[in-house]
Order: sequence, then structure tokens, then C-alpha cells
Amino acid sequence: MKKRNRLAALAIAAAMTATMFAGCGSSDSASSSASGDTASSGDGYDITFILSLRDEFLSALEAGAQDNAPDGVNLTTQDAQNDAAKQQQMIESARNAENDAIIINLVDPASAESMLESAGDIPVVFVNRYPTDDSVLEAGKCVYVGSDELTSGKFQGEFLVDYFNEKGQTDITYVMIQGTLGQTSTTNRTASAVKALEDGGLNITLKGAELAGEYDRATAIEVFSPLISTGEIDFDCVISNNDAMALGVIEAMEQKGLNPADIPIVGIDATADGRQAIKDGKLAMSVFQDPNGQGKGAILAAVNLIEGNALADGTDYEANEDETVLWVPFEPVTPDNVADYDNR
Amino acid sequence: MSEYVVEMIDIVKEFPGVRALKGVQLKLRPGKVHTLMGENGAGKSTLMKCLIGIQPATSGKIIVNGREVHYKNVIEAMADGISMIHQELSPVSERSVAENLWLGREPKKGFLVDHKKMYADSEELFKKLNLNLDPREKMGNLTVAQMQMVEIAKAVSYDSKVVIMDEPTSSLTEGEVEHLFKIIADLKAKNVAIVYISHKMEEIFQISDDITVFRDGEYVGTDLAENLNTDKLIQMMVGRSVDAMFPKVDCPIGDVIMKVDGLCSGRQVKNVSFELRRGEILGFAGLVGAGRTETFETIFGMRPKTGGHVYKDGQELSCKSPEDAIKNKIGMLTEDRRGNGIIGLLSIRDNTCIAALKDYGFPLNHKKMEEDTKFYIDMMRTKTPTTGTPIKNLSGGNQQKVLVGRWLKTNPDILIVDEPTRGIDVGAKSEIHAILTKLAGEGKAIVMISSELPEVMGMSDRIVCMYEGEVTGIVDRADFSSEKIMALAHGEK
Amino acid sequence: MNAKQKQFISQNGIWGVLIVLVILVTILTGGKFIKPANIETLFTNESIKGIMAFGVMMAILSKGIDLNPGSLAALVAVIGASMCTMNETTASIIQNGGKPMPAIVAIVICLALGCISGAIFGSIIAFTKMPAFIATLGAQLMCRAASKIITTAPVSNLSDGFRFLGKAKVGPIPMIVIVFIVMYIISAILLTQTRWGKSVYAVGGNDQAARVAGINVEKTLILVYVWCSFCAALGGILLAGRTGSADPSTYGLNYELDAIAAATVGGTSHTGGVCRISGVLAGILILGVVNNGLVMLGVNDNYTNIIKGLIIIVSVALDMRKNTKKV
Repeated sequence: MKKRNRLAALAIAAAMTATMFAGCGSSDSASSSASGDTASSGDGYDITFILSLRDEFLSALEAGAQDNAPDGVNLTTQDAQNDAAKQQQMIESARNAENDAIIINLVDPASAESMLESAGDIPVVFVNRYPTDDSVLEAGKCVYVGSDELTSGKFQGEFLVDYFNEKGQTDITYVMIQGTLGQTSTTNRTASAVKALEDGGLNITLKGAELAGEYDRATAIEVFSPLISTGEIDFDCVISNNDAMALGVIEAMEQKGLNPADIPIVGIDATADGRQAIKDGKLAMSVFQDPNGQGKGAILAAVNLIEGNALADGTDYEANEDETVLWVPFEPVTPDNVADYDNR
Repeated sequence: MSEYVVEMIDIVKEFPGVRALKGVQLKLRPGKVHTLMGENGAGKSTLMKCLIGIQPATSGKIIVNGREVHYKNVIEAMADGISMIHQELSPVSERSVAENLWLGREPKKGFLVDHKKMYADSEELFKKLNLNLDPREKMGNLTVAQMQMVEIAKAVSYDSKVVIMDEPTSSLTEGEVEHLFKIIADLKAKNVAIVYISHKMEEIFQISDDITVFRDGEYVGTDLAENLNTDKLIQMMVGRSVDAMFPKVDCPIGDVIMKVDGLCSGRQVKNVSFELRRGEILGFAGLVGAGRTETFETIFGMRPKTGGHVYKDGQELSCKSPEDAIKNKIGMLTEDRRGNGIIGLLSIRDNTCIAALKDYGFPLNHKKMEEDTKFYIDMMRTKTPTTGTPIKNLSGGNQQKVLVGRWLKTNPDILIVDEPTRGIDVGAKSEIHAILTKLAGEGKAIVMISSELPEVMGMSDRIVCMYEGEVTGIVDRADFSSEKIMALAHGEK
Repeated sequence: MNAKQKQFISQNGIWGVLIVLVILVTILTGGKFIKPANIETLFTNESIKGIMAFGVMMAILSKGIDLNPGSLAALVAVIGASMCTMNETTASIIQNGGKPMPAIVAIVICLALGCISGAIFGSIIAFTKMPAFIATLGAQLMCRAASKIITTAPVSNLSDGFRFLGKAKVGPIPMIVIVFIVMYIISAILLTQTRWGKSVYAVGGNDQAARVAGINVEKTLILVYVWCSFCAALGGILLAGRTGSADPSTYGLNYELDAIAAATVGGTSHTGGVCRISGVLAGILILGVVNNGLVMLGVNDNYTNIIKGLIIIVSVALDMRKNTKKV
């Protein structure tokens, strides 16, 4: 091995490491400025928010929490990268750092109890993903802020029931594009949509198998396109677990020369692209899950827990009777009301 | 009970497309050294692999101690007292000698390895064999010879009745060989049968009791060593007599092509100076570790130069990589054929052309590659089914011929050959010698590093002797004598 | 059967497997599978991962691996999309104010970025002798994180120019498939007709011997990873072009594993030095037939993955047997 070569390699590695740290530094400063410049004042609360994975939706939720953090709150956010073990370590670190409260977006809703154990006596707010065993919720100590996943699919189902009732059609064949198989949100979104269709009195048949689109636009195109490769549509509607995949379905149909407006395609999330597609008439409807509201609710709930206030204090939302859950409602988004969501 | 400890009768071994053994036989007497001879690829190693179950025979009968056996793996053979010391040793180099020795059968205390007993047993074993080895030493720190001794100790520790040694002396120095022979004598005294595979004639006649010769997977014959001599053996092996083993032809020596002045590389090469002339074969003699290989690795750009100068045609050379050296028309056939010579999975064609790819342009001229490969196959009389055959499927001698062809293709002014005939059969050996002589005749300069004294003396115009990284003397052909060269190689100036 | 026939079968047997699979799926789908429209779908779907497989193949051939293609594709996709979006504002830190950059410029920038990244990681692998697995794993993490730093939300509404390679059609043939075929031809030329290709075989087969034979091992390896990253970057451009959007968190996720699987099924040996480009093409198509056919047959995705896993394991097991037998 030649010395010169090794030196060159070391230099490259050093330069890259430096760049990496520079990157970390800049993102840190961004988050602290977002949480308010008064954060460093003496009587501030230290709160850690641990995300399951910083995707589009959770980034918006994160921003909602940061933008609505009251003065004096020092909010740190961390990304567990979909790893429950990593999440647990982060919770333990936050406890050891003597945080005043921890906001957790669970990687695995079934792990709520062990996550709580790791948090010790520190108040915990679960956000967006509802613990599988909700007996862990306890007023003043551990609460949930978020939307009820089971209602998101319900809105999709109800929309389709109205649509087919109007057409006078009762036997329908549907395509189901699921997110990542095995995830609670996937299971709940799928099950609640199907249930709403059945409750609405439709005779439904699944086209092929449930397709796994991994919540990804490109994957959705791949799994969906074989169904239309013959150039004809032999199903009545497409239900997708999120907008990204619904947009993939639209893209695949357009590339085959089919008109996506011919059948109802329904998504969830009402992302910017999703809303644009609704305006263009390509996506029939979506369901708005309010990330900003969830983020805001979570940070305010955390402060309320620390200060011993009522759970809903300072929020626009309603708490349940036990003071353990703060519901941030889902809202159906259709061509009629899509414009209302542009600046939310 | 017969007088033989092992009898192998009518052994046939087939590989896909090849019949490696065509019904051969072998009978081993207890307490005797039985040597197997034959050109490379004659089937000696294959037969031994059949015996110990690495590659079970396709058909035939193997009788051990009067009982017919069909070993499916080495463990079964070992249980019957048959061990093999392989040509390529594969120790666990990061662990201690004792741990290697007892690998897989460590003395236990309950569930735990009884390290105390393990080291004590090792020491006792080494004492019995007169070996000066520390069982606590890391295996990787041992020399090849010492590792081999450990392997032999392992065989003894299994209480083996048959010990197979596949070219045990190929990388040993003279002193180490002497030691090995003493151990072999001890084993004979304990009534152990030894199978000895080697190409070195002197050795064979020194230690053998019986000799069996194979040729192309066929049994040629077995005889007592005392009834044979070198000529007879060679005739049996090649089926023809090799008249000129070292066809040295005096050719006109030209001007100095390379001058090396005070070359140093770390601790291995110390202040080496010599001149090399066109048309000359310059031999390098010395013990293993004398720094001969390292000297030329430095010149060839494989290891860093820490001092001195190298001039070629009056210009100072500084090769930082073999790529540079090849550009300066230097070629080097390295010692470690498998390690840095052949590229096993690639074809004969690719192996031939790889050092001269720039000759074939873009897109690569495959037709020309094929023609060139055929040219060198014919020239070297390489035995191969097709030019597309992976080189690993050839025998050692044929692999070496392909590599010689590779270097000839680069058309070097200076060709360095390091142990060019180690472990290859007599026929191939003399062919390689003839090629080297021919190249010298064409005005090229040849450097030949060899640990085989008859070879280096037979082929060279001058011999440079090295000891512990330093040049101890340069001897002209007129003054060649084994005594003188051996003395210089042992550091006696 | 003589040795040549045997060799032919062992080298091309994979095409037999593909044909059997195609016949099987065609029968099971009642002929729907083999219709030209579906074959078009199949090729379109496999093109991106296939192009990545042509890159990864070289890395595996050199006795290395590249775990970075998926993440690098995502990074390139978000950068390219940020430059070529028609939206006035996006979540990206790269803004163009609604004026998309000329597509050709953006594409050249994207490909150059890929090559630079490959050169950096290739240098690290070549000069430090670090296992490629580790270096490219690090690269994977960094590229994925960098794409998430660049944008938090998908960047969409891309210019038609930027989408040309991923979306356009030439007559009945999608551009993306043409790109795939062109990349196949380039890969084949690189592999069999250039000194570099031969050098990669030699380095993968025995790097020490290659060095002694005058091959610049470091340069060869750096170029391997430049090529790999070029393929990944092209994959990223196609991904964004095809979907009309670029999502930093989901794009290209695990694509490298599919690419490695295709190269492996195609007979590229992980012990280095063995690779046939036609085999890799067959590997890509086999996995494509499985993906496409099982969707048509309405088989649950979990079972599809079990079948894919089995194909990978069985093909490598056969390959190992083939390679060890000859020793």
C-alpha cells in the first residue's frame, strides 16, 4: 500500500466527515430557531419529540409542533428511523437528560407499554399512532393526541357508497392499494374502508389480491400497472391507503392512455399533490389528516401535562371524558372543499 | 492379514468430462517411505484425496488393515489412523499453535476447554518429536517449515499409521529439510507408513524405500528405490527420456541493460547492487528469506523502495507499480503462482492477454487475442482442451506455461522469473528452461531466482548469492561449485 | 454430451428457466400475460431496477458490492426534480421559482453528481481497502439523509423535458425501455470489449495477480463505482420522470436489493470474477415475470416475496455447486 494513496483517502474521509458535521450543525440551528429564541431562558421546559420516521406527513407534524411551541419551551426532535429499539434508546436518553415531557410517535403501537417504562416518571404524549393497548393511557401522566385511523378509511368508503348509490350500482369490484403490509395504519385504513363499503349495502369483490404499494408512488405504479396492461379497466374504483400511491395509480393509467377520471380513485392525506389532483378531477377524494393540528395538539398537551392543566387547554380540539385522548378529527376532502385546505 | 497397511486396487476417479485416475493401484508397507512420482496432473494428489475421503473414488477397492473402507470425509480416515499434510497449509493464523493442533478435539473440563492440559500435551508432543516450538506462539508468526512441523505433530497426535506428505519440502530450506527427514526416520521407526509426494530427485533417492510412478492418470509401475536411478525414473514418468534437463547454450552477452545501485527496501533488502546484461541469464541463489524475491518486487514496483537507484538503458527507473514496470519493458513471473499469478476463474485466453490488453485496442480484438493465445499454447506445448478453459482447471505446470506466455506477450527486455519450475513436472520444467535459454539468445536479459541449486547452476551465466537481504557474492559460470554457492548463501563470504 | 454442450447449458440454463416461467405464467393467466401490452408493462416496470443491476453487477464482479443505488437514486431524483419542477414554491431547499431548468442541463448535472459520488466512495474502497459493503452502507445512509435534508416533502409537477426519458414513447415503445436497452448494450460493450471490462474481471478474480499483470487496481475499482453510481443516478432520473415526482423518503427504497438479486440470479458470483451480461438480463426478467405474473394472478405480495426469496437462494445454491464442482 502506498503511503500517498492512504493519505489521499484519509483526506477525503476527513473532508466528508467535516461536511457531515457541518450538515448536522446547520439542521440543529434550524430546529432551535423554529422553537423560538427565548427557548434558552431559565424557566423553560425541555421536551423531546421522537418521530418514527421523518417522512412528508411527519415532517409537517414536526413543523406543527415546533411552530406552536409556547415561549420558554425548548423542543428537540429526533428521528427513530422506523426502529423501535432506537426509539426506546432515545426515550431513555431523554429521561436521563431529565426532560420535562416526551412526545412519542410510536414506531410500533404495540410497544407502548415498554416505551412508557423507559420514560419512567416523565409525562408522555403519544401522537398520531394510537397504542394497541390503550389501558396504558392515564390522565395527567400519559395521553394520546391524534386522529382515529379507523375513521380515515371510513370516509373513503362512505364517499364511494354515495357515488355508487347515485349511479344505482350495487355490485362493485375494487382495487386496493395498501401501504406497507403489517403496519397498523395499513391494516386499519384498509379494514375501515372495506367495512364502510359493506355497511353501505354494496356487494363488493376485490380485484386480484391486495397490492402492497409501500406508501410509495413508484412502487404503486409497478404493482398496479399489470392490472391495466391489457388497456381496459375491469374494475369500478381504486382505494389507496395514501395519496402518493393514488397518484401512482393515476400516473400508470395516463401512461396507458386511460382516463383516471373514468372511475373514482380515493386516497388519504390530502397532500399538496393530492389536492392538485382533486382540483384536476383525477383524484375523486382524499381524507385530510391534520398534521399541523396534531403537532400543535401534542406540544400543547405536553405543556398541559407538565403544568397540570386540563388536556384540551389552549387547543381547538375536544378531549374525551377520561382526559386521556385529544382527538384531532379527519376531514374528507372533495372537489367542493379542496380549496379550503390550500393554506392549512 | 496382509503385509500391507493400505491397499488401493483399480481406483478410478472421474470428474465431469475428465478421467483423472484410470484404474491405478498402490500398496503401502508399514514403516516404509513410499514415494509417488509423476508429472503434474498425473494423479498423485487425486489418488491421495480418494484415500482420505476428500474426493471419494468413482470405483475401486480400498483396503486398510485388511478391511475394505469407503471414507466419506477426512475425519473417518483420521479415525483409522490416516493423515495427510497438504501442499497448501491452511492454519487458523490468529490462534495459538496449540489451539491449531487440537482444533475440533480440544481437551475439555466439563464444557470448557482445558487450556492447561492443551498446552502441556502440546509441549510433551513437541518434545517427543524433538521440535523446538512454543505452543503459545501465534500460528501466523511461524515460518512455513514450522507450520508443517505442527501439521506433522498433529498427525502423530492422532496416532497415525499412515502419514501422507504432499510436496512437504517445496518451501523449506536445506536445514529444515534435514530436520524433516529426521522426523520421517523417527516415524519409520514407529512403524508408520509414509506416502511421500515430491519432484526433487535427490530427496527421493535419499529417503524412499518404494517408488510408484503414475503418468496421465495411469499406473506405470512400482519398484524398490534401490533398483531405480534418476534416468530410469524420468523415463518412466515422461515415457521418453529427457536428454537435456538444463539446455544451457552460451549466447553472446551484450551491454549492460540494467544497473542496480545500493537498492534498499525496509529490512528485507539492504544495499543490493548488481548489473544485468543483454543475453545473460543472471541467477539468484540464497535461502528462503534471503531477500531475493523482495529485491525484484522492489524493482518491479510491488514494494516501496527506501533507498538506492535502478537504471535501465542508462535512464533512472522508479517503478511505483507493476504497471510502470511493464511500461518500461520489465516482466516478472512471480513465485506465488496461485496468490498473484493466475486468475483462476478466467480463461487461458484472458490469462494470456491480461498484461498486454493495450495491444488489442477498442473494441477489443478478440480474434487477435485468440490467435495470440493459440500461438503461445503451441509454443509452450501447453496441454488444455480449449483456449476458453478456466486456468484453474489446468495442472500447475500448464498454468506456469500460460503465465510465461503472458509475459512473453508483453515483449519485455528484462524478464524476471522467480522459482519458475517449483512444483511442476519434469517435462514442463525442461520446456520452460528451453524457452528461457531461447529468450536469452534473442538478446533479452533474464533474471532467474531459484532455490534449486542444480537448476540455478545449470542455467545461469552468473549467480548472485544473497543472505539476509544482502549480496554476499557474485560468481561467474567458470567458478560455479555447489560448495561455494551454498557457502555464500549461508552468509559465509 | 460433450464439454462444450455442458458449458453452453450451464451458462445459458437460466434462459431455459425464464422460458419455463413465462410459459407457466402464460398458461395460468389464460394467455393474458404474453400480450404485447403486458410485456411492455413488464419491461417498463423492470427498467429502472434493471439499469441499477447493470451497475451493481460490475461491483459484484470486482468482488465488491454497492448498497447505495437506491438512496443515490432518491438523492438524484429530488435534486433533479427540484431543478425542474414547474411549481413556484416547493419544500425543497433548491428553488427555481417556477422556472424549470433546461432538462438536458439538469440531467447532465444529475449524472455528474452520481459520478462524483461514485468517485468518492470508489476512492475510499480502492485506497483504504475498506470492505465495499461498509463503505457503500455508509454512502446509503448519507445519501438518504441528504435527500431528506434537501426536501421534506415530495417535489412534483416536473417539466415534460425532465420527464422525457421516464415518460415519453417512441412509437409504441416507452422511452424508458429504450434507455434500458441502450444501457444493456453499453454494459455489454464495457464488459466484453474494453480493457477496463477485462480488468474488472481480473481484479475480481485475483486482485494481487491483476496488479502484478500491470493493471491499475485502484483506478479500475474507482471506475467500477463511478459506473455503478452513474447507473443509479440514471435510475433516479427515470424514477422521477416516470412518476412525475420525487419523494425523499420512499423513492428507491430497497431498490439496491432487487438489483443485487437480479445480478445474482443472473449468475454473477459474489466471490468475484464471474459475470455474463446476458445472464443478468435473464435474472432481471425472471424477477420481472414473477413480480408481474403474480400480480395478474392475484397473489398476495407476501407470497410473491417468498417466491422471490426462494428463486434467489436456489439460483445461488446451484451456482455455488457449479463453481465448486470444477475445483
